Amino acid sequence: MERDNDLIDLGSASVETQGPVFGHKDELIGQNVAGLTDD
Amino acid sequence: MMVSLAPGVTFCDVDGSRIFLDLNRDRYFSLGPLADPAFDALVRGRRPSDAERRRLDILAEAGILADLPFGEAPRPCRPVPIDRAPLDEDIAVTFSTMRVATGAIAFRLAKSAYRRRGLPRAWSRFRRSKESRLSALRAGSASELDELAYRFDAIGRMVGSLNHCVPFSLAIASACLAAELKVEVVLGVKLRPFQAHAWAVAGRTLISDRLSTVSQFTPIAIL
Repeated sequence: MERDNDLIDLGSASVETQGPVFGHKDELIGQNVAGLTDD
Repeated sequence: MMVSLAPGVTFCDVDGSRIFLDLNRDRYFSLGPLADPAFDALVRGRRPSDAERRRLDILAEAGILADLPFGEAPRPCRPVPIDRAPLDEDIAVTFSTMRVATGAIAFRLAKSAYRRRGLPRAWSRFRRSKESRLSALRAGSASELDELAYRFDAIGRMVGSLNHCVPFSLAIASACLAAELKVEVVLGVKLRPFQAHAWAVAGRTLISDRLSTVSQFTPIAIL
């Protein structure tokens, strides 16, 4: 469980194979990423 | 022995946040609020506290860190300087239909292979291709790089390069290698929101993109 708190997954690096994120699209890829920001 | 980043793991600093890429596991990730200061101790060469040492052990168990005999302290990915981007200039470039057709086929194949196999396989395949030619590679002339940039720009519009930046960059970089020109493929990331992008640079010339696009991204891995 400690590991889960230590590593915040931001998603696959091959997202062209999984979803339309890698590239120019202006999208968040997950709740954890929102946690990275100051928003 | 030195605690280093495990092979295939790279990172960069973006606006005060560290973003990591594990190429072998095909993941982008960041560190939590307890692990990040522990990793910071490694980067700065500071002796970690007992609590930080436990966090570093967890990162090692997760395959992020490794005790390597000739390892180095973790360092962020180096910057990739760019002096010019032909696509930002108004250059009259001519290229043969045949060269456009062969480039388009190469890009289509790269897209298809990337969709099937993902980044780790595509990256290691390009690495092998580059290493096998390394001694023969030379710096490209401005006219050679202009031709590549404009020809692949036309190919990208024809075949569709939007959201296919990795295979597009690998295709144009492979065309450079075929012409025995030095080239690097760069993966970069940005935050707010998180995005990743790939581009190809020959020497200090950006050949796959416009500067306004890549300048938003911080390099995280270079091949």
